[in-house]
Amino acid sequence: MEIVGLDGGARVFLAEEKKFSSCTAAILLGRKLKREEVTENALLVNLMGLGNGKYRSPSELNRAADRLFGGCFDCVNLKKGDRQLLEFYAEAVNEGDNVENAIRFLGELILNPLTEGKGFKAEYAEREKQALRAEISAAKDDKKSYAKNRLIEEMFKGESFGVYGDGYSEDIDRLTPEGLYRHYRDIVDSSDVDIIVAGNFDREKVLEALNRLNLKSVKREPFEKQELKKRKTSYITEKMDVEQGKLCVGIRIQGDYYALLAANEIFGGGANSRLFMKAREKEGLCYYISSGLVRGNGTVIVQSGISSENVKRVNEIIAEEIKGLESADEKEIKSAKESLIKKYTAAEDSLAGISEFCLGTVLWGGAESLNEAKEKIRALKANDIRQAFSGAAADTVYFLKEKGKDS
Amino acid sequence: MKRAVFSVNFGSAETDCIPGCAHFLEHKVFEQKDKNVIKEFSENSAEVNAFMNFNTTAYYFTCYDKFEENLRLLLDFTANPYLTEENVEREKSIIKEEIKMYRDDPWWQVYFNLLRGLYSENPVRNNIAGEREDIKKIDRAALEECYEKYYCGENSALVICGDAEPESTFFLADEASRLKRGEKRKASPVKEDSINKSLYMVKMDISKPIFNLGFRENNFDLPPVRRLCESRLLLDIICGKSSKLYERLYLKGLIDKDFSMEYLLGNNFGGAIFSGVSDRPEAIVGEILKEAERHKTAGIEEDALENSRKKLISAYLRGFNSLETAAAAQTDYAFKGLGLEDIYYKYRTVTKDNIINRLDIFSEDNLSLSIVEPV
Repeated sequence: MEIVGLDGGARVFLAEEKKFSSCTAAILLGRKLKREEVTENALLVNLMGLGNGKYRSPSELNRAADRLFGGCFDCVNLKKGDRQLLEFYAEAVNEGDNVENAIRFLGELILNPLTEGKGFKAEYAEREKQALRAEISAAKDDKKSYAKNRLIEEMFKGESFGVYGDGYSEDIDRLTPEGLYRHYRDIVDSSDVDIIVAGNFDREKVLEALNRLNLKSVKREPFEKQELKKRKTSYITEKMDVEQGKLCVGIRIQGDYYALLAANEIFGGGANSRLFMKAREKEGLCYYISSGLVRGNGTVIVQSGISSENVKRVNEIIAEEIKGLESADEKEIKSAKESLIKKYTAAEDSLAGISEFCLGTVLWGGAESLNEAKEKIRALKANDIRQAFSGAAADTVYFLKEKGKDS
Repeated sequence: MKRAVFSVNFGSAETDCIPGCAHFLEHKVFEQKDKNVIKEFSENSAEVNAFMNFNTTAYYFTCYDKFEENLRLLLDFTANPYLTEENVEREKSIIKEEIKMYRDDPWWQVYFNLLRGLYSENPVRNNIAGEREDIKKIDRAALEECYEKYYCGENSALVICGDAEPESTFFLADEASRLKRGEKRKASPVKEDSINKSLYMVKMDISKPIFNLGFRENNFDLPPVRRLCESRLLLDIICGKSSKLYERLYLKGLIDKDFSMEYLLGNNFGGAIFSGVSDRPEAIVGEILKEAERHKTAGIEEDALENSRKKLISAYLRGFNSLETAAAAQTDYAFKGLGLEDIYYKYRTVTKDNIINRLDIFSEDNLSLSIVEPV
């Protein structure tokens, strides 16, 4: 993997792997995640995917993409830590000019928007306002992810990470085609731009195509430093019409990313983890329970689907196993490390895996190649893993409770 | 990396056992007398798991090291489940939670309601995990009976993907296989089966109605590869992102960005399924029928076919960039008599006439619409 700077200041992460048949290219416009503009950004990225100055309707745009590079592209709004990313993404089989066509196509999406007078095309802007409103209210429909979003909102109140990544309904009405266009100009002028190209491509041709886009990039703002606030666990319960309660527990932890990853592996990383073995296999309390590390701010989030009457017991198990990590045995340490090395090795075999890894490095630094990441895991000392969760406790416990249960 | 998927031709669409048995077994096959399978794989830096669908139950692992040991372990544990009255009973609380999880998932509900709408008899309409009442009835004897019947060499497949050397792997698998011999499962005959309900509605705590619309396949004479490739091309031409219909539906606000469609390929079931969020799903039905009619008379544009062909071949080739996708696809096709490579050749040779013939399924009396509405 290689990092190259472009003329306008954008960084390109190149991960060339000839064993793949195709290549993915993602152009990411990065912004600090802010309540004031999160909604506008979320709308904008979808609006830009409906058409551009050259291909002026969704069907024209998609037909052009089919013809030019096999049609796989998307415009996506991403929340990563305290950062919002507007992602313009394409994937193409490396045959003929497909890859360069795809890059040019992404450039047109970003730099040549579909306008009408001094604004975006009004019909499309109106349509995307409606779509975003629906998307925001639909966030409630998937109860698992709703519970997780609510946990994050409560746990990080007043912090950027607590801002809801898809935006806020009440901020949609005031958006106009003209205002959106002014905001778009600002985005193009004041975002930090990172580009990730992975898979099978011709390096020189890709760099030339990218340079020709002439994208402007500003210096990125550093991530917010998280303070490790110790506080009493707060408990939040909400009721909804669900058959099974959804539990989400947030734990604040700080420390070396790789040691935390390994510790999380033992804690709740998979079917071999302590949470799974105890809560599901031993006590039969749930079908799923797992924990994940939020990179960049040292938070571990546990998710499980359980009945109300088991909340107390599952919380006890979580507390026991946070402490229990201190006595993790050699076998557990070894298999946690191997499991992570396996994940990095698996990532080498998938374009999505490589791109995801590159994105992590783009955002948070750390290992610059998958091999380096594996080395970092191998170098971890058993005690660093055992101590990684030391002193941690649940910060916030969110439970989405079954309606009609009062206990 | 290497991925191995061992599968048996036995899934949720089974008539001669209690619904939910195949899924229950999928949980219990991991149970062994003297070892913890998950731990053993994990110690070999591999991860083991299972999945199932209508006709297949599959057990798989991925690893970068100790492939031989892991493959032996896979073939060994799937041939030796250890079932006791007690461990079968204990699993019930976990499966009960799993069923509850599905019942809270509106997309899961809308999909299985569609299958219940499309078929009155065909067991594809069974819930994957069965119903709570079914689970109560399942015991060790019932599971053992299914296991004996379906977990045999003749009824299984092994798919291996990644940088394994083919010949030695073949010998290894042959030597390590512990399954007993048995009888190959006979394809169940296609029964006359009418559309059960043209409209299937339920309410859940969601924000906006979601729908699944299905047009049923009734012709099983065509080879599966033709059904699959011709139908996928047809769907993309009439309603893919590049189509005028998609544009119209989207701009009118009838569908959202997550609108999708697929061709469901089963040996004795199948059809075109559209899925999305909409305030007016019925209006979409009308639009799709109208567009199909238009194509029946006006035919298919050459350009549209070539664009779709390029897009689908490109998507097919990209599938090989992931061991997971390639292995899952080949596993699914194994019991349908289909190789991954067949699909590539078929995509290249489908003609306009082939596609026009597939338009027959789009008729008003051959559909079911499943809707989950907000409370």
